[in-house]
Amino acid sequence: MKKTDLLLVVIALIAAAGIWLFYSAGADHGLTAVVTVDGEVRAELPLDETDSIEIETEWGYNIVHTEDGQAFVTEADCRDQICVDHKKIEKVGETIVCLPHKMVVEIIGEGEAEMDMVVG
Amino acid sequence: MDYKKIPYYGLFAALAILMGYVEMMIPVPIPIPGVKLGLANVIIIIMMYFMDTKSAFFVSLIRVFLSGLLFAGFAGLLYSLAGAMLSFAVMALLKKTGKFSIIGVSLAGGVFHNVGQVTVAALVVENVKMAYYLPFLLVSGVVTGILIGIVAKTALGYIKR
Repeated sequence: MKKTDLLLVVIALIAAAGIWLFYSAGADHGLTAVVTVDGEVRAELPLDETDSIEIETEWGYNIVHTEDGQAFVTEADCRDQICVDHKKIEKVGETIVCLPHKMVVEIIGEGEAEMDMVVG
Repeated sequence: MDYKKIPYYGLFAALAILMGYVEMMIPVPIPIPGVKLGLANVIIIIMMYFMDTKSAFFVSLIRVFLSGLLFAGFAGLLYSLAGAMLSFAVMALLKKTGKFSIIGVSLAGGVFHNVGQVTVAALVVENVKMAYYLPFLLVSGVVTGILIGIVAKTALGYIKR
C-alpha cells in the first residue's frame, strides 16, 4: 500500500463524516408543531423558532409556545388545565390535547414517528 | 481486434459473472441497502492490470448486462450499470496517474461504485434524502475496496508468474 492510498482512505472517511454531520445537524430541523381545532389546521409553528400564538376557539383560548425545539401550552382557560400541565413535546408524533377546546398540538416532521404513542 | 485476447474476454467475463453470483450467496450482516463485497470487481481489477483498461471496460460492460439480465432484472441493471461505470472511470483514471497502488485503485472503485448507485437511486425516487445512506456506503466502500484490492493483488501474483 502506498501513502497516496492512505490519502484516499482519509478523503473518503472525511467525506463520510462530513455528510453524516450535515445530516445529523439537519435532523432536528424541519419539525413543526401543527395546531388543529376540531380537526381544522389553525397554525403551523416551526419548532426551532421561539414563538407564541394564541389559539381562539369557540370554547375558549390556548396559548401555544415553541422554543428550543419544543412545543407546549403556556396558558388556557379550560377547566382541567391538562394541556398546560402536559410535558413539553419535541418528537415527531407527540401530541398535546386539550379536550374541552378540541385543540390538538402535534409535532410533524420528515420520516417515521419515533414512538407509536405516549401513554400515561 | 487482437484475436489472442478473445479467449481472455470470455474467461474473465464468465469469472466476473460467477463472482457476482457467488456474492449473492453470501449474506450481508449489515442492514443497509447497497452494502456488499463487490467480488466481481476482483476480476475487473485483475483484468485492468493483467491486460489493459480497454479490455477490462468491455468485460465490465458484458458482466453488468449479463448478470443484470440473469439475476437482477432490468431495474437492477440500471443501478449496476451506474455503479460499475462510475467506479470503472475513477479506477481507470487513478491507474493512469500511476500514483496509486492496486489497493488504492480498488478502494476508489469500491467507494465510487456506491456513489454511482446512490446517485441513480436518488434520481429514481426523486429524493435527495437518499444521500443519507452515503456516509455508511462510503465507509463500507473503503473497507470492501481494500479487501478486494488485497485479493486482486495476491491473485495477480499467481497469474503473472
